[in-house]
Amino acid sequence: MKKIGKFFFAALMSLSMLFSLSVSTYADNTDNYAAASAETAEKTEKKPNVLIIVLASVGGGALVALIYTGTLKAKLKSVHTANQAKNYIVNGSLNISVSRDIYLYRKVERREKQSNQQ
Amino acid sequence: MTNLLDYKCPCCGGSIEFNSTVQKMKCPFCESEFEMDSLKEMDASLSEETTENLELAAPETPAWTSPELEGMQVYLCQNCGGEIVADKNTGATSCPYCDSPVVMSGNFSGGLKPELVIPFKITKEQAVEALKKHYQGKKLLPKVFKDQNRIEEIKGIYVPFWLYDAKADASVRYKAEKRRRYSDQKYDYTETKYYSVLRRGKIAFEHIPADGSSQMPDDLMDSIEPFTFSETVPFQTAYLAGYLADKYDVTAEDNMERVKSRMKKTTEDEFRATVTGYDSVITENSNVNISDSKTTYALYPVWLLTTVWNDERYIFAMNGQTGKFVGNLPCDKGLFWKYFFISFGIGAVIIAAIMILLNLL
Repeated sequence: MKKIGKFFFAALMSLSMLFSLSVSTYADNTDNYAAASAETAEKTEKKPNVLIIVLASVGGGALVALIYTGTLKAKLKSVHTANQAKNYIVNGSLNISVSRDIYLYRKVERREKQSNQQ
Repeated sequence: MTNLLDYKCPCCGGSIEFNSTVQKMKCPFCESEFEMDSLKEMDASLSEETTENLELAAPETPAWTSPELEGMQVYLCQNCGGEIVADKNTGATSCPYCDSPVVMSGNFSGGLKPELVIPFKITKEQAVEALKKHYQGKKLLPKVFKDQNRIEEIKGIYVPFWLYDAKADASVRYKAEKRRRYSDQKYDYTETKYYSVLRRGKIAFEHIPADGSSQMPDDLMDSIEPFTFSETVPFQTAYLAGYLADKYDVTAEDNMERVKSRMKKTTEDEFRATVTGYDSVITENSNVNISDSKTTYALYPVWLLTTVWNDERYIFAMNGQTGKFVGNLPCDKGLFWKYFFISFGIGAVIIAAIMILLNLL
Protein backbone atom coordinates (compact mmCIF):
# COMPACT_ATOMS: atom_id res chain seq x y z
CA MET A 1 0.00 0.00 0.00
CA LYS A 2 2.83 2.38 0.91
CA LYS A 3 4.63 1.52 -2.33
CA ILE A 4 1.48 2.20 -4.38
CA GLY A 5 1.04 5.48 -2.53
CA LYS A 6 4.64 6.49 -3.20
CA PHE A 7 4.23 5.54 -6.88
CA PHE A 8 1.13 7.67 -7.24
CA PHE A 9 2.80 10.53 -5.41
CA ALA A 10 5.83 10.36 -7.71
CA ALA A 11 3.63 10.17 -10.78
CA LEU A 12 1.64 13.12 -9.57
CA MET A 13 4.80 15.11 -8.91
CA SER A 14 6.16 14.21 -12.34
CA LEU A 15 2.97 15.21 -14.00
CA SER A 16 2.83 18.55 -12.20
CA MET A 17 6.52 19.17 -13.01
CA LEU A 18 5.83 18.31 -16.62
CA PHE A 19 2.81 20.61 -16.64
CA SER A 20 4.63 23.55 -15.09
CA LEU A 21 7.50 23.00 -17.52
CA SER A 22 5.14 23.10 -20.49
CA VAL A 23 3.37 26.17 -19.11
CA SER A 24 6.62 27.97 -18.57
CA THR A 25 7.77 26.97 -22.05
CA TYR A 26 4.47 28.20 -23.43
CA ALA A 27 4.77 31.43 -21.45
CA ASP A 28 8.32 31.94 -22.63
CA ASN A 29 7.32 31.30 -26.21
CA THR A 30 4.42 33.66 -25.87
CA ASP A 31 6.72 36.34 -24.47
CA ASN A 32 9.18 35.77 -27.29
CA TYR A 33 6.40 36.02 -29.86
CA ALA A 34 5.03 39.21 -28.34
CA ALA A 35 8.48 40.78 -28.28
CA ALA A 36 9.09 39.84 -31.90
CA SER A 37 5.67 41.24 -32.96
CA ALA A 38 6.32 44.49 -31.15
CA GLU A 39 9.64 44.84 -32.85
CA THR A 40 8.09 44.18 -36.26
CA ALA A 41 5.27 46.67 -35.61
CA GLU A 42 7.75 49.27 -34.50
CA LYS A 43 9.76 48.82 -37.64
CA THR A 44 6.61 48.99 -39.77
CA GLU A 45 5.34 52.15 -38.05
CA LYS A 46 8.55 54.10 -38.42
CA LYS A 47 8.92 53.52 -42.16
CA PRO A 48 6.76 56.01 -44.19
CA ASN A 49 4.78 54.78 -47.21
CA VAL A 50 6.56 56.66 -49.96
CA LEU A 51 4.05 55.78 -52.66
CA ILE A 52 1.14 57.26 -50.72
CA ILE A 53 3.08 60.43 -49.94
CA VAL A 54 4.04 60.90 -53.59
CA LEU A 55 0.49 60.32 -54.83
CA ALA A 56 -1.00 62.64 -52.23
CA SER A 57 1.57 65.34 -53.01
CA VAL A 58 0.96 65.17 -56.74
CA GLY A 59 -2.82 65.13 -56.35
CA GLY A 60 -2.85 67.84 -53.73
CA GLY A 61 -0.38 69.99 -55.65
CA ALA A 62 -2.46 69.71 -58.83
CA LEU A 63 -5.58 70.70 -56.88
CA VAL A 64 -3.86 73.74 -55.38
CA ALA A 65 -2.54 74.76 -58.80
CA LEU A 66 -5.96 74.41 -60.44
CA ILE A 67 -7.65 76.48 -57.74
CA TYR A 68 -5.01 79.22 -57.88
CA THR A 69 -4.84 79.54 -61.67
CA GLY A 70 -8.61 79.18 -61.92
CA THR A 71 -8.98 82.17 -59.59
CA LEU A 72 -6.52 84.20 -61.65
CA LYS A 73 -8.34 83.33 -64.89
CA ALA A 74 -11.75 84.17 -63.42
CA LYS A 75 -10.50 87.71 -62.72
CA LEU A 76 -10.20 88.23 -66.50
CA LYS A 77 -13.93 87.67 -67.04
CA SER A 78 -16.35 90.41 -66.07
CA VAL A 79 -19.07 90.14 -68.71
CA HIS A 80 -22.15 88.05 -67.98
CA THR A 81 -25.79 87.87 -69.00
CA ALA A 82 -28.25 89.18 -66.44
CA ASN A 83 -30.85 86.54 -65.58
CA GLN A 84 -32.64 88.39 -62.80
CA ALA A 85 -34.10 91.83 -62.14
CA LYS A 86 -33.76 92.29 -58.35
CA ASN A 87 -32.55 95.89 -58.77
CA TYR A 88 -35.80 96.82 -60.50
CA ILE A 89 -38.39 95.60 -57.99
CA VAL A 90 -40.74 98.39 -56.96
CA ASN A 91 -40.17 98.97 -53.24
CA GLY A 92 -42.84 97.36 -51.14
CA SER A 93 -44.63 95.84 -54.13
CA LEU A 94 -44.22 92.21 -53.04
CA ASN A 95 -47.63 91.15 -51.76
CA ILE A 96 -48.23 87.52 -50.80
CA SER A 97 -52.01 87.09 -50.78
CA VAL A 98 -52.10 83.33 -50.14
CA SER A 99 -49.64 81.55 -47.88
CA ARG A 100 -50.45 77.92 -47.06
CA ASP A 101 -48.20 75.33 -45.42
CA ILE A 102 -50.03 71.96 -45.37
CA TYR A 103 -48.65 69.00 -43.43
CA LEU A 104 -48.86 65.81 -45.52
CA TYR A 105 -47.22 62.87 -43.75
CA ARG A 106 -44.13 61.78 -41.89
CA LYS A 107 -41.61 59.00 -42.33
CA VAL A 108 -39.29 57.55 -39.70
CA GLU A 109 -36.13 55.68 -40.60
CA ARG A 110 -34.00 53.91 -38.04
CA ARG A 111 -30.55 52.45 -38.14
CA GLU A 112 -29.19 50.00 -35.63
CA LYS A 113 -26.25 51.26 -33.65
CA GLN A 114 -23.01 49.29 -34.15
CA SER A 115 -22.12 47.37 -30.96
CA ASN A 116 -18.56 47.71 -29.53
CA GLN A 117 -16.23 44.78 -30.13
CA GLN A 118 -14.98 43.13 -27.00
CA MET B 1 -30.41 114.51 -97.07
CA THR B 2 -31.55 114.79 -93.50
CA ASN B 3 -31.01 117.91 -91.49
CA LEU B 4 -27.94 117.86 -89.34
CA LEU B 5 -27.86 119.79 -86.12
CA ASP B 6 -24.68 121.68 -85.43
CA TYR B 7 -24.97 123.79 -82.31
CA LYS B 8 -23.05 127.03 -82.86
CA CYS B 9 -21.73 129.19 -80.04
CA PRO B 10 -23.45 132.62 -80.14
CA CYS B 11 -20.23 134.20 -78.85
CA CYS B 12 -17.56 132.87 -81.17
CA GLY B 13 -19.34 130.67 -83.71
CA GLY B 14 -17.55 127.50 -82.69
CA SER B 15 -19.31 124.17 -82.33
CA ILE B 16 -20.57 123.64 -78.80
CA GLU B 17 -21.03 120.27 -77.13
CA PHE B 18 -22.54 118.82 -73.92
CA ASN B 19 -20.04 118.89 -71.04
CA SER B 20 -20.59 116.10 -68.51
CA THR B 21 -18.65 117.90 -65.75
CA VAL B 22 -20.83 121.03 -65.59
CA GLN B 23 -23.93 119.33 -67.09
CA LYS B 24 -24.40 122.17 -69.56
CA MET B 25 -23.63 122.94 -73.17
CA LYS B 26 -20.11 124.41 -73.34
CA CYS B 27 -18.01 125.95 -76.09
CA PRO B 28 -14.55 124.36 -76.08
CA PHE B 29 -13.11 127.47 -77.77
CA CYS B 30 -14.34 130.39 -75.69
CA GLU B 31 -15.42 128.43 -72.59
CA SER B 32 -18.93 129.92 -72.68
CA GLU B 33 -21.61 127.83 -70.99
CA PHE B 34 -25.29 127.64 -71.95
CA GLU B 35 -28.28 126.32 -70.05
CA MET B 36 -30.24 123.47 -71.59
CA ASP B 37 -33.44 125.52 -71.40
CA SER B 38 -32.00 128.11 -73.72
CA LEU B 39 -31.64 125.45 -76.41
CA LYS B 40 -35.23 124.24 -76.07
CA GLU B 41 -36.37 126.74 -78.68
CA MET B 42 -34.04 125.08 -81.13
CA ASP B 43 -35.61 121.71 -80.34
CA ALA B 44 -39.09 123.22 -80.76
CA SER B 45 -38.20 124.10 -84.34
CA LEU B 46 -37.16 120.48 -84.91
CA SER B 47 -40.59 119.22 -83.90
CA GLU B 48 -42.18 121.24 -86.68
CA GLU B 49 -40.10 119.50 -89.26
CA THR B 50 -41.62 116.59 -91.13
CA THR B 51 -39.86 113.30 -91.45
CA GLU B 52 -37.93 113.05 -94.66
CA ASN B 53 -37.51 110.02 -96.77
CA LEU B 54 -33.82 109.69 -97.09
CA GLU B 55 -32.47 108.74 -100.43
CA LEU B 56 -29.07 107.51 -101.10
CA ALA B 57 -26.99 109.71 -103.32
CA ALA B 58 -27.48 108.61 -106.91
CA PRO B 59 -24.49 106.53 -107.83
CA GLU B 60 -22.45 107.98 -110.60
CA THR B 61 -20.00 105.14 -110.75
CA PRO B 62 -20.64 101.38 -110.67
CA ALA B 63 -18.98 101.24 -107.22
CA TRP B 64 -21.98 103.00 -105.58
CA THR B 65 -24.36 100.22 -106.59
CA SER B 66 -22.58 97.74 -104.35
CA PRO B 67 -24.87 95.89 -101.89
CA GLU B 68 -22.60 97.23 -99.15
CA LEU B 69 -24.45 100.54 -99.40
CA GLU B 70 -27.61 98.97 -98.02
CA GLY B 71 -28.07 100.27 -94.50
CA MET B 72 -25.73 103.21 -95.10
CA GLN B 73 -26.71 106.83 -95.56
CA VAL B 74 -24.85 109.94 -96.64
CA TYR B 75 -25.05 113.20 -94.72
CA LEU B 76 -23.63 116.62 -95.46
CA CYS B 77 -21.74 118.40 -92.69
CA GLN B 78 -23.17 121.88 -92.30
CA ASN B 79 -19.91 123.17 -90.87
CA CYS B 80 -17.49 122.25 -93.63
CA GLY B 81 -19.67 120.69 -96.33
CA GLY B 82 -17.96 117.33 -96.09
CA GLU B 83 -19.89 114.17 -96.90
CA ILE B 84 -20.35 111.79 -94.00
CA VAL B 85 -21.22 108.19 -94.78
CA ALA B 86 -22.75 106.56 -91.74
CA ASP B 87 -24.94 103.65 -90.73
CA LYS B 88 -28.65 104.36 -91.16
CA ASN B 89 -29.10 103.99 -87.39
CA THR B 90 -26.44 106.56 -86.52
CA GLY B 91 -27.97 109.41 -84.56
CA ALA B 92 -24.94 111.47 -83.62
CA THR B 93 -21.34 111.46 -84.70
CA SER B 94 -18.50 113.81 -85.52
CA CYS B 95 -17.47 115.01 -88.92
CA PRO B 96 -14.32 113.17 -89.99
CA TYR B 97 -13.06 116.32 -91.76
CA CYS B 98 -13.61 119.12 -89.26
CA ASP B 99 -14.38 117.06 -86.13
CA SER B 100 -17.58 119.03 -85.49
CA PRO B 101 -20.16 117.16 -83.44
CA VAL B 102 -23.25 116.56 -85.56
CA VAL B 103 -26.68 115.18 -84.72
CA MET B 104 -28.84 113.44 -87.33
CA SER B 105 -32.12 114.89 -86.14
CA GLY B 106 -34.19 112.70 -88.42
CA ASN B 107 -33.23 109.66 -86.40
CA PHE B 108 -34.55 111.21 -83.19
CA SER B 109 -37.78 112.83 -84.30
CA GLY B 110 -41.38 111.78 -84.59
CA GLY B 111 -41.93 108.19 -83.58
CA LEU B 112 -38.20 107.66 -83.09
CA LYS B 113 -37.79 110.33 -80.45
CA PRO B 114 -36.55 109.00 -77.11
CA GLU B 115 -38.56 110.06 -74.08
CA LEU B 116 -35.68 110.13 -71.64
CA VAL B 117 -31.92 110.38 -71.53
CA ILE B 118 -29.30 110.01 -68.81
CA PRO B 119 -26.59 112.59 -69.58
CA PHE B 120 -22.97 111.56 -69.34
CA LYS B 121 -21.60 111.97 -65.81
CA ILE B 122 -18.19 110.37 -66.42
CA THR B 123 -15.64 112.28 -68.50
CA LYS B 124 -13.35 110.72 -71.10
CA GLU B 125 -10.35 111.18 -68.79
CA GLN B 126 -12.12 109.29 -66.02
CA ALA B 127 -13.03 106.55 -68.50
CA VAL B 128 -9.40 106.20 -69.60
CA GLU B 129 -8.27 106.00 -65.95
CA ALA B 130 -10.88 103.37 -65.25
CA LEU B 131 -9.67 101.29 -68.18
CA LYS B 132 -6.08 101.46 -66.91
CA LYS B 133 -7.32 100.41 -63.46
CA HIS B 134 -9.23 97.52 -65.06
CA TYR B 135 -5.91 96.11 -66.27
CA GLN B 136 -4.30 96.23 -62.82
CA GLY B 137 -3.94 93.08 -60.76
CA LYS B 138 -4.53 90.77 -63.73
CA LYS B 139 -1.52 88.47 -63.58
CA LEU B 140 -2.53 86.44 -66.66
CA LEU B 141 -3.07 89.50 -68.89
CA PRO B 142 -0.51 89.62 -71.73
CA LYS B 143 1.74 92.63 -71.26
CA VAL B 144 1.72 93.39 -74.98
CA PHE B 145 -2.10 93.71 -74.87
CA LYS B 146 -1.83 96.61 -72.41
CA ASP B 147 0.85 98.28 -74.50
CA GLN B 148 -0.96 97.92 -77.84
CA ASN B 149 -4.36 98.96 -76.58
CA ARG B 150 -5.34 102.34 -78.03
CA ILE B 151 -6.93 103.67 -74.90
CA GLU B 152 -7.42 107.16 -76.25
CA GLU B 153 -9.81 105.84 -78.89
CA ILE B 154 -12.43 105.21 -76.22
CA LYS B 155 -15.73 106.70 -77.42
CA GLY B 156 -18.74 108.04 -75.57
CA ILE B 157 -21.93 106.71 -77.09
CA TYR B 158 -25.61 107.02 -76.18
CA VAL B 159 -27.00 103.52 -76.46
CA PRO B 160 -30.73 103.11 -77.14
CA PHE B 161 -32.48 101.20 -74.36
CA TRP B 162 -36.02 100.01 -73.84
CA LEU B 163 -37.18 100.34 -70.22
CA TYR B 164 -39.88 97.91 -69.14
CA ASP B 165 -42.44 98.34 -66.36
CA ALA B 166 -44.70 95.41 -65.55
CA LYS B 167 -46.56 93.52 -62.85
CA ALA B 168 -46.19 89.83 -62.15
CA ASP B 169 -48.87 87.57 -60.68
CA ALA B 170 -47.43 84.33 -59.43
CA SER B 171 -48.60 81.09 -57.89
CA VAL B 172 -45.85 78.74 -56.79
CA ARG B 173 -46.15 75.35 -55.10
CA TYR B 174 -43.30 73.73 -53.20
CA LYS B 175 -42.58 70.42 -51.53
CA ALA B 176 -40.83 71.02 -48.22
CA GLU B 177 -39.27 68.75 -45.59
CA LYS B 178 -38.43 69.06 -41.92
CA ARG B 179 -35.98 66.57 -40.44
CA ARG B 180 -35.39 65.59 -36.86
CA ARG B 181 -32.78 63.17 -35.55
CA TYR B 182 -32.86 61.35 -32.23
CA SER B 183 -31.67 58.04 -30.82
CA ASP B 184 -32.07 55.52 -28.06
CA GLN B 185 -29.82 52.70 -26.83
CA LYS B 186 -30.27 50.48 -29.84
CA TYR B 187 -31.20 52.75 -32.82
CA ASP B 188 -30.56 56.10 -34.49
CA TYR B 189 -33.82 57.61 -35.82
CA THR B 190 -34.44 60.14 -38.61
CA GLU B 191 -37.95 61.55 -38.70
CA THR B 192 -38.94 63.43 -41.90
CA LYS B 193 -42.14 65.46 -42.12
CA TYR B 194 -43.41 66.39 -45.59
CA TYR B 195 -45.33 69.58 -46.39
CA SER B 196 -47.05 71.07 -49.40
CA VAL B 197 -46.38 74.83 -49.45
CA LEU B 198 -48.30 77.32 -51.56
CA ARG B 199 -47.46 80.97 -52.18
CA ARG B 200 -49.62 83.25 -54.30
CA GLY B 201 -49.21 86.98 -54.79
CA LYS B 202 -48.01 89.93 -56.83
CA ILE B 203 -44.85 91.88 -57.42
CA ALA B 204 -44.10 94.92 -59.60
CA PHE B 205 -41.03 95.88 -61.63
CA GLU B 206 -39.99 99.17 -63.15
CA HIS B 207 -37.39 100.41 -65.63
CA ILE B 208 -35.83 97.05 -66.48
CA PRO B 209 -33.39 97.97 -69.26
CA ALA B 210 -32.75 96.01 -72.43
CA ASP B 211 -30.60 97.54 -75.14
CA GLY B 212 -32.24 98.32 -78.46
CA SER B 213 -29.14 98.11 -80.61
CA SER B 214 -28.12 94.99 -82.48
CA GLN B 215 -24.53 96.32 -82.53
CA MET B 216 -24.23 96.20 -78.73
CA PRO B 217 -23.70 92.73 -77.21
CA ASP B 218 -26.55 92.07 -74.79
CA ASP B 219 -24.33 90.53 -72.14
CA LEU B 220 -22.02 93.57 -72.21
CA MET B 221 -24.93 95.95 -71.68
CA ASP B 222 -26.32 93.70 -68.91
CA SER B 223 -22.95 93.79 -67.16
CA ILE B 224 -22.78 97.59 -66.79
CA GLU B 225 -26.14 97.71 -65.00
CA PRO B 226 -27.63 99.18 -62.94
CA PHE B 227 -28.36 102.69 -64.14
CA THR B 228 -29.91 105.14 -61.67
CA PHE B 229 -33.25 105.98 -63.22
CA SER B 230 -33.87 108.95 -60.95
CA GLU B 231 -31.20 110.87 -62.87
CA THR B 232 -32.99 110.64 -66.21
CA VAL B 233 -34.12 113.89 -67.84
CA PRO B 234 -36.49 114.61 -70.74
CA PHE B 235 -34.69 114.06 -74.03
CA GLN B 236 -33.14 116.92 -75.91
CA THR B 237 -30.92 116.49 -78.95
CA ALA B 238 -28.44 118.92 -77.42
CA TYR B 239 -27.30 116.25 -74.98
CA LEU B 240 -25.97 114.22 -77.90
CA ALA B 241 -23.55 116.85 -79.16
CA GLY B 242 -19.99 115.70 -78.65
CA TYR B 243 -20.93 112.05 -78.37
CA LEU B 244 -21.96 109.26 -80.69
CA ALA B 245 -25.51 108.00 -80.67
CA ASP B 246 -27.55 105.34 -82.40
CA LYS B 247 -31.27 104.99 -82.80
CA TYR B 248 -32.81 101.63 -81.99
CA ASP B 249 -32.92 98.79 -84.49
CA VAL B 250 -34.18 96.18 -82.03
CA THR B 251 -37.81 96.77 -81.12
CA ALA B 252 -39.36 96.53 -77.68
CA GLU B 253 -41.21 93.39 -78.75
CA ASP B 254 -37.96 91.71 -79.78
CA ASN B 255 -36.56 92.16 -76.25
CA MET B 256 -39.76 91.19 -74.44
CA GLU B 257 -38.95 87.50 -73.97
CA ARG B 258 -35.57 88.24 -72.45
CA VAL B 259 -37.04 90.74 -70.00
CA LYS B 260 -39.93 88.43 -69.12
CA SER B 261 -37.41 85.71 -68.31
CA ARG B 262 -35.62 88.04 -65.87
CA MET B 263 -38.91 89.01 -64.22
CA LYS B 264 -39.99 85.38 -63.90
CA LYS B 265 -36.70 84.32 -62.29
CA THR B 266 -36.76 87.20 -59.81
CA THR B 267 -40.41 86.57 -58.93
CA GLU B 268 -39.66 82.92 -58.22
CA ASP B 269 -36.64 83.88 -56.08
CA GLU B 270 -38.63 86.44 -54.06
CA PHE B 271 -41.46 83.98 -53.45
CA ARG B 272 -38.99 81.24 -52.52
CA ALA B 273 -37.45 83.54 -49.92
CA THR B 274 -40.81 83.59 -48.06
CA VAL B 275 -40.68 79.80 -47.50
CA THR B 276 -38.66 79.48 -44.33
CA GLY B 277 -38.18 77.02 -41.49
CA TYR B 278 -37.61 73.93 -43.63
CA ASP B 279 -34.57 71.76 -44.18
CA SER B 280 -35.32 71.22 -47.86
CA VAL B 281 -37.59 73.02 -50.34
CA ILE B 282 -38.21 71.94 -53.93
CA THR B 283 -40.35 73.85 -56.42
CA GLU B 284 -43.05 71.58 -57.80
CA ASN B 285 -44.98 74.04 -59.95
CA SER B 286 -44.50 77.69 -60.88
CA ASN B 287 -46.99 79.88 -62.71
CA VAL B 288 -45.97 83.51 -63.38
CA ASN B 289 -48.13 85.88 -65.44
CA ILE B 290 -46.80 89.23 -66.63
CA SER B 291 -49.32 92.02 -67.13
CA ASP B 292 -49.69 95.82 -67.34
CA SER B 293 -46.43 96.10 -69.26
CA LYS B 294 -45.25 99.49 -70.45
CA THR B 295 -42.13 100.42 -72.38
CA THR B 296 -40.16 103.65 -72.48
CA TYR B 297 -37.51 104.51 -75.04
CA ALA B 298 -34.41 106.08 -73.50
CA LEU B 299 -30.78 106.76 -74.29
CA TYR B 300 -28.20 105.67 -71.72
CA PRO B 301 -24.56 106.79 -71.68
CA VAL B 302 -21.81 104.25 -72.27
CA TRP B 303 -18.07 104.65 -72.83
CA LEU B 304 -16.96 102.05 -75.35
CA LEU B 305 -13.63 100.77 -76.60
CA THR B 306 -13.27 98.05 -79.22
CA THR B 307 -9.90 96.51 -79.86
CA VAL B 308 -8.64 93.59 -81.94
CA TRP B 309 -5.79 91.47 -80.62
CA ASN B 310 -4.58 88.19 -82.05
CA ASP B 311 -7.54 88.21 -84.46
CA GLU B 312 -10.01 88.35 -81.58
CA ARG B 313 -12.29 91.29 -80.84
CA TYR B 314 -12.39 92.65 -77.30
CA ILE B 315 -15.00 95.20 -76.24
CA PHE B 316 -14.79 97.23 -73.04
CA ALA B 317 -17.73 99.19 -71.75
CA MET B 318 -18.15 101.64 -68.91
CA ASN B 319 -21.42 102.88 -67.47
CA GLY B 320 -21.28 106.60 -68.32
CA GLN B 321 -23.34 107.42 -65.24
CA THR B 322 -21.96 105.23 -62.43
CA GLY B 323 -18.49 104.42 -63.75
CA LYS B 324 -18.86 100.62 -63.60
CA PHE B 325 -16.29 99.12 -65.97
CA VAL B 326 -16.51 95.69 -67.61
CA GLY B 327 -14.79 93.81 -70.39
CA ASN B 328 -13.32 90.34 -70.85
CA LEU B 329 -9.55 90.25 -71.13
CA PRO B 330 -7.34 87.74 -72.97
CA CYS B 331 -5.34 85.11 -71.12
CA ASP B 332 -1.62 84.61 -71.72
CA LYS B 333 -1.24 80.82 -71.96
CA GLY B 334 2.47 80.97 -71.20
CA LEU B 335 1.87 82.87 -67.96
CA PHE B 336 -1.01 80.49 -67.09
CA TRP B 337 1.24 77.41 -67.22
CA LYS B 338 4.06 79.22 -65.48
CA TYR B 339 1.83 80.03 -62.48
CA PHE B 340 0.30 76.55 -62.66
CA PHE B 341 3.62 74.75 -62.29
CA ILE B 342 4.92 77.12 -59.62
CA SER B 343 1.82 76.68 -57.46
CA PHE B 344 1.83 72.93 -58.19
CA GLY B 345 5.42 72.64 -56.95
CA ILE B 346 4.81 74.68 -53.81
CA GLY B 347 1.58 72.80 -53.01
CA ALA B 348 3.17 69.37 -53.54
CA VAL B 349 6.18 70.18 -51.34
CA ILE B 350 4.01 71.50 -48.50
CA ILE B 351 1.67 68.49 -48.59
CA ALA B 352 4.60 66.05 -48.68
CA ALA B 353 6.27 67.80 -45.73
CA ILE B 354 3.06 67.69 -43.69
CA MET B 355 2.53 64.00 -44.41
CA ILE B 356 6.12 63.07 -43.48
CA LEU B 357 5.86 65.03 -40.23
CA LEU B 358 2.60 63.31 -39.32
CA ASN B 359 4.15 59.93 -40.08
CA LEU B 360 7.11 60.58 -37.80
CA LEU B 361 4.93 61.77 -34.97
